[in-house]
Amino acid sequence: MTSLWSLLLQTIGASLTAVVLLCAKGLFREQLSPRWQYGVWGILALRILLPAGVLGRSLFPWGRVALEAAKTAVEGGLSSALCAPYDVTRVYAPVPLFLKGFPRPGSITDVLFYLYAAGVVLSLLWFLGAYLGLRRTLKRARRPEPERLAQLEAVCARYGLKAPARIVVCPAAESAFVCGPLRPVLVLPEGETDDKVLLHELLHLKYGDVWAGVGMCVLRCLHWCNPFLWYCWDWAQNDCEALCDQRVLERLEGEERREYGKILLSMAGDRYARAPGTSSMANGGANIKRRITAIARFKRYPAGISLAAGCIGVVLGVGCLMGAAQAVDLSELSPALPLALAQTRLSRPTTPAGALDTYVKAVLSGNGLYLSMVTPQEELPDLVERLESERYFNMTTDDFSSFPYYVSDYHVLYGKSRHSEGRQADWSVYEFIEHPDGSYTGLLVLDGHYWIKEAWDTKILVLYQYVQVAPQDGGWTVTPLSEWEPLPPGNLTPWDDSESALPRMVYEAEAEGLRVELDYWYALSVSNRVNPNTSNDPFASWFSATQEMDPIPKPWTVFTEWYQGGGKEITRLDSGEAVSAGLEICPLRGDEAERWTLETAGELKYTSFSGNSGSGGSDQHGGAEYQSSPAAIAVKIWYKGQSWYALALPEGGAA
Amino acid sequence: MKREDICRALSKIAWGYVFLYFNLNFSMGGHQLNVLPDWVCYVNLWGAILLLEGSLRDLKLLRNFCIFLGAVACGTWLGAIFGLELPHALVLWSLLVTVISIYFHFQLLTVLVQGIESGFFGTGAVNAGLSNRLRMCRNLQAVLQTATALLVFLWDYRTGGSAAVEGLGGVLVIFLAIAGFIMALVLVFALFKLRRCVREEPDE
Repeated sequence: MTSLWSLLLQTIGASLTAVVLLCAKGLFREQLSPRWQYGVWGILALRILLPAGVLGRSLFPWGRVALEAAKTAVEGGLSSALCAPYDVTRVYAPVPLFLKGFPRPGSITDVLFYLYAAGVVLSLLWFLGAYLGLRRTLKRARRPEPERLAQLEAVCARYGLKAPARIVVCPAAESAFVCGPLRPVLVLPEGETDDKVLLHELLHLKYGDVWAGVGMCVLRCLHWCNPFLWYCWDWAQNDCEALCDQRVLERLEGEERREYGKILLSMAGDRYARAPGTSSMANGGANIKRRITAIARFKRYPAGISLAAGCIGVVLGVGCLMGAAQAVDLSELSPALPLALAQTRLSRPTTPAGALDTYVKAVLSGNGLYLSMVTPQEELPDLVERLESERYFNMTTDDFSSFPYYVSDYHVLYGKSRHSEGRQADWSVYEFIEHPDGSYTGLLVLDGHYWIKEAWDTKILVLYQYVQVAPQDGGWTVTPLSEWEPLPPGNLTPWDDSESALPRMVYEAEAEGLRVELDYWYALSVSNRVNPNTSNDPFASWFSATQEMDPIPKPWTVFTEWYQGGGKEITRLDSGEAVSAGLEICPLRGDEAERWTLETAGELKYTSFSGNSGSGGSDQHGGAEYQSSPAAIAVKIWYKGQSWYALALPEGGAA
Repeated sequence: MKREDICRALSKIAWGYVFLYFNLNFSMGGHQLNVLPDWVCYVNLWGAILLLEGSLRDLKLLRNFCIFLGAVACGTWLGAIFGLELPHALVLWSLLVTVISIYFHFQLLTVLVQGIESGFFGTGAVNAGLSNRLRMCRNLQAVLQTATALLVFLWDYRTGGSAAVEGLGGVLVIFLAIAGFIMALVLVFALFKLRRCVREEPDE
């Protein structure tokens, strides 16, 4: 937790889990055993220990959206040092973290988070102090009489239990209790202690309940400011006692069970002095009443029910810990701008391909909210200001008028009818090169060949723009590096026409007096054609030829289609004269290019490259094998019966 | 308790499971009509619980769950007819419905198994080994319900996953569907056989 908002995200997530558990416990109060009733609290413990949204999922996605919207509204007017209005709230760890050191608080939310962090430390110290104080008191306690030790040994022998190493008598104790998880001490009150009370405490020791109590203390401290969770841990501790009662009753017979109930009843008036690292049979009047009711219902639960109890526990556990998919419906964003912005912020692209797909659809439909998904945070305030007056605005140029505009009220996507409108074009990215800082640059190309029905020779069919795709705050942003440029009417796409006017990047290498220029292009794209009205019915698409462009961004997508090809030119370095030489190539990723050396170049797997040819493929599930253009190309040149190796690096274009 | 009443109750339970496990959907203009709706199952089970709860006390604990599950099934059925869908985001609600359903069916079959073993349904049912078959169906049903629920919760309907994950998901779905179908057949036949055993039980 790094800010007040991540604390809220974490504590609200834990509270929702607690609500689900309380509902389930209420439903199965009489049906499932005390073991189950106590065991399910483990789900809450895990929920608190796992960072909220760690898997990109949420138990209540709309709550997450509302929290993001609230954060933007509050932080927009503040200058907090620990968070920014437009970053996505994340929980990196279940404890307060200060990743940026301890900056001077810039706002009330910073102050509150510092207060919270101080509260965690203070409450831990308070519990520790209380425990150490109790241990100090017990140091002064006296050893029990031999008769009482004999009584304890008899109880241990009868029930096959182990006595703790240290047993003391403390006049201040109202009832017996166990203190300390590491070197437990059994504390007895003055006077007689019933065998059943000893059995209860020995069972606490056997099952490590003191450790569970310590764990609950720590979890209380982590969420000291959430009284609902304190209430839940009180309940959990009572369930622990109720489970211990169950264990005792399972070992007792007939009349002894009634006597145990009477003993418990006699403790109803005792004070509940909760101390960390201890377990006490007497835990307050109200709790004891609940336990007596449970004792009245006592039964040995059949072994078979444990399967159902386990299944219910697993479903609750997985559901509460994993949550649902972060199902923001991008085809139906909220009419309220703050909520819609929160929705888009939570749907920021998780892949470079998703970022480009989102950017293209923002441009083609003029949707400013989609644009906000890929806009760098520092530029968001300006965009939000514009969105306050208009959600849709023109992001294109006159050249886009060739691409057909559609208005559709019958579009059925993801099983829902939606109004959608915009221009239609296929998109692909060329020369998509990864840079050392983790960003990419590429030539984004919009291609209208499939969509434009009129004569191709008079229309602009292709538009392109250089873009940068950069990682930011766990997502990907897109920044245009140039204006949209059209190819002159009649120009075809590169794979049809090697002389295309589309700017090219060339891979260049030199070896043994030869220069190699590889006009190698690698285009990546995402499948975006859908059948209107039938996209939710996979079989209908077999019978329908009509297709539309899917107007909804796919921020999680990978590149699913690829095309590659190009030409080559090998010349003499001194004269520039073209020579006839054989060429084999091996495209390399960034890390592979960094590892390339002349000594190991021969170990690579080369394929013959004649140039002036192209090929492509599509994989809707796994995606393209290479998600970017080669960072470099290893070449093997055959010339005059000899071969040389070299590394061709990209030159020109966006590179 | 009259033998006719026991037979009627067992008929209701057996037919109830037919409605629960077998669906026949008609699709019209984006709306779906299931002519074997699940809510009929719960109406039948409710009737059976009322008939048997006097003799099989534990059934009383299932009354409210039966009403709840019936209401949910009815709402889902109407929603499908009118093209309405529970928002995917309501994971909390889905969780509670799922756990109640797991418990309800598990406990209902447990009570029937106990009834067979205690001789409530007659010696014919004991001799036919129906308790073991029902117990197996009960356990398998709980496991399949859990596995299906986990698959639904874990599967991101929107983004899918890698080819390997999708392939694994597909195999799991097919496995669950086949196992569920076999289990449903065995369960329904066992329940009808239990009814026949009761009907053919010689008069005392």
